[in-house]
Order: sequence, then structure tokens, then C-alpha cells
Amino acid sequence: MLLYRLFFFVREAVQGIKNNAFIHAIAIGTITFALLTFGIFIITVINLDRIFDDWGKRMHVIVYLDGKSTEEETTAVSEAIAGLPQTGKVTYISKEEALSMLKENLQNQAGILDNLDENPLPPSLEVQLKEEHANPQSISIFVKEVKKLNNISDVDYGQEWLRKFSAFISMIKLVGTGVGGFLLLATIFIISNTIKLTIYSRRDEIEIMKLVGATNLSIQIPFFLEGITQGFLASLLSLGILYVGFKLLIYKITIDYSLYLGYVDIIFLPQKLFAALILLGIALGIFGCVFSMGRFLKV
Amino acid sequence: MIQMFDVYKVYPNKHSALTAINLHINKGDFTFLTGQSGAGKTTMINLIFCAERATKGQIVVKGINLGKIKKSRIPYLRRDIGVVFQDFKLLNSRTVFENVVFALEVTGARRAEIKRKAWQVLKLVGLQNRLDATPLELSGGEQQRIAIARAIINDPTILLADEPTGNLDSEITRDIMELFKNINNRGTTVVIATHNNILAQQYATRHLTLERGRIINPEEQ
Repeated sequence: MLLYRLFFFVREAVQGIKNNAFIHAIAIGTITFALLTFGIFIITVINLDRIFDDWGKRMHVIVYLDGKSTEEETTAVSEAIAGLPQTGKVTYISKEEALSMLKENLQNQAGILDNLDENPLPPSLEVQLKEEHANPQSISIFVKEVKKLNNISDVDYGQEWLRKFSAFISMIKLVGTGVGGFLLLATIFIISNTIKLTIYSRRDEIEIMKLVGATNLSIQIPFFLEGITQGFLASLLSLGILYVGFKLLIYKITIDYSLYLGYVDIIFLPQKLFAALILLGIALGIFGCVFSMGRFLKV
Repeated sequence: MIQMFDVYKVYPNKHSALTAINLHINKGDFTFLTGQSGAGKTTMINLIFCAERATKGQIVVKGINLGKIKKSRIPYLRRDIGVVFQDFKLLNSRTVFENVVFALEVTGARRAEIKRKAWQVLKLVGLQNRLDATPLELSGGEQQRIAIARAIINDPTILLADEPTGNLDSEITRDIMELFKNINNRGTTVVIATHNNILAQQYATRHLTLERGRIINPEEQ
């Protein structure tokens, strides 16, 4: 009995798709477009996040030492900094090394440094922070700790830049959440309306099913199956388009903007999100059906 | 089989479709409901198969009080009530066979049983040779025969028909009426709503006349 019913539901769903191929194609197209927009948004957010994360990781702190401190005092400061939990790598840059680096940077204008009586540059320690501490909050704590040490003249960590960068990231996250939420709502709205139209076009069929004694559940199941099929096909289609588009664009982006990207690889959707997008497609298909059928079942 | 006790039906726009209806239709009756358009015939048919609910009064069908029936039980009641409409209500994308077996399939019947019963009812309505045609390839009379075959495939104890010959010419109307009579002779209680008084006088064993929502021949109630 159950098997006969199952067979009937599947057959009804297949027939429903076959008999209403055009309407289904429109619904699949709409869901595909909606998921595509959502997918593009997610890929953009994920990769922006990775790029910002990488920029953050490349932040370092320069601790300028008192030029008059002895070798022992310098070693003590260096060891104290190395002992802080945020510290990754500490590199000592002597006065001489600092001057030669400056000359290198000035290139053709390096001559202006020739008339100096003495080297005015202080020795410094360049501190690379551990990955997990390469963020504005950790850096502030770290700098506070460093400033407590003796024989230090100044600490430079791009304060202004860091503040702006941090504000920028917060803004991107806020705008991203807003845009993402809006997109999802718009997607649900479009899909539910499209499916409402597809079901409206089949209201006679639903009415007849009711008249001959079909239960609401047995009317809904074939529509569920159609909704699942719609959502599944649409998510596969959108992932396919997304992937091809991604591959075509990525080559150009990597070449043209490699300077800004640093060492970050632009990635496609991670596996988890890949599955989530398929599930979202299926869920949207079912959701659209359930919410659109209600009033047609009241015969 | 069908009883109504002081039944009223008032629509939300305050239009009163039925007023103080009392009737008792026995098992095996061949009943006609006649009256002009808007007299309340369709409302009465709709009340019997729960497409609408009465505003006041009690309706009992096959011993079930429709005022108290749970929504989830309505489909099971409908499987025992066949309904035929003026506009046939067929699925034009499906074949004759598919339209007819549809009513059995939703009940989860076995394939062999579905085929056997489909053959029986299609033979009864004379369409056993048009199984693969779609409704739009058939005449109005043939389409109504499919609708009747679908209505009786579940062996219902009650068959309701709302203006079943409204769209058909007189010759086909006679054929369809003979078909209803034939079904009635097999023990099914038949209720036909029509504006055609002559038909009722020709075929009815009971004839109820409605006027502005009231039965005007109480001796038939």
C-alpha cells in the first residue's frame, strides 16, 4: 500500500514537471538567479575577509630603542619583548642597518645623507606578531606592555592606518551583513512569488484532487517533490554557472590585482557552503511550495 | 442517506443562499433539485460534500454530522460521494484513463485493482475505446462521461451532479440521464441539480424545487 502511494507521488511529481515544463523552467531560472546572486555575494565576502585577514597578519611593530643603551640593555629589551605572548619573531636592526636601509629606499636621493656628521637613526627591534594576535586589539595590548619597558624611545605600529583599517573592516562587515540579509529576504520573496504563480496555474488540478477525496498531505507531497527537484536543479545550475564564471574571472583578477592581493589565493565556495547552497536551494523550493499552497487547499 | 434540519447558508456579503431547509433523501433515491439560477441548488450540493459549511442547522450524510466532522476526515467522506459538474472539471493534460483512475490513485489503491475498475466504469460510460485520448479531443458529451466515470470509480454510495447537462444538447442529455438512471439502478443514491424542469419530471423519483433558497414543494421534503 505504502509502496503504491510512494510510486503514485513520484509519478505525479514527474508528470507535474512534464506537464508544466515551462512554468518549472521559469521557477528554476528564478531560483538559479537568486542563488547565483547570493553565491557571488558569499564568494566576495569570503575572499575579502581572507584578504583583510592577510593584511592584518602582515602588520608588524617597530620598537625604537634609546640610542644610548648598552648592548646588555638592548638584549634585555629584546628578550623581554620575545617573552610577551603576542610576539612571533623579533629582529634587531642596528643604527647602521637602519641607515643603509634608508639609503636603499631613497635610491637616487641617497646623497643627501652623505653630509651627516653622525647617524641620527636609532637602533630598533622589528616585531612580527603571532598570527592569532595580528589584530588591532592584540596589538594595542602588546604596545602597552612594550611601552612599560625601559630604554625604549618610541613604538611605531601604524596607529592611524590600523584605526582606519579596523573601521573599514567593521564597516564592510556591517554592510555585508545588511546586504546579505536583504539579498536573502529578496530571494525568498521572489521565489515564493514565482512558485505561487506556478501553483496558481495548477489550482484546477488541486481542486480536482480535493474533490475526489485526496488528503491535503497527498496533494502536497508531489508538490514537495517538485519543489525539491526545482531547488536541487537550480542550486546545481547556479553552482555550475558560479564555478565557470569564477574560473574565467579569477585568472584576470589574479594578474591585474596581484599587488593588492598579496599572498592570498582567491577561493571558490568552501565545501560546507557548497553543500549549504544546495540545501538552501532545496529548502527554498519546499518553502515556496508550502507557503504558496495554503489557500488552494481550502476547497 | 442525506438529511438536513433547518439549514441556513448566509455568505459573508449577507446574501442568504438557503433558508430553513429540511429534507430527507433516502438510500437509492433518484432526486432532482430544480430552480432558477441563484435559487440555491449549487449551494445545497456543495454543503453535501463539504465544499461549504452551513451557517446554521444540521446536515447528516451517511450518519455523519457534517457540522462536527473533522477537517482531516472530509477527504474520506468525499471518497464515498462522487461529484459531477457542468464544466466537467477534467485535467486536460491527462488522458481519459488517467483522469478516471485519478480518484482511485489518491486513495492508494493497487495497480491491478485500478485497471480492473477503470475498465468496468469506462465500459459502463461507453468510452472503453478512448483510453488514450485527452479530454480536449473529445466531445462535450464524452467529456461528461469521463467525469461520471471518475465520480463512480470509487463505488460511492452517493452521486451528486450539478447541472451535468447544462452544456450538452438534448440528445446527449438523454444519454447522460440514462447513464445516471443506470448508476441509480445499481443502488447509488443520485442527486441532480438542474434548472431543467422537464428533465426532472421525466426522470425523478423525487423532485425538490428551490426558489430563493427555500424549498417550495414541502410535500417532497
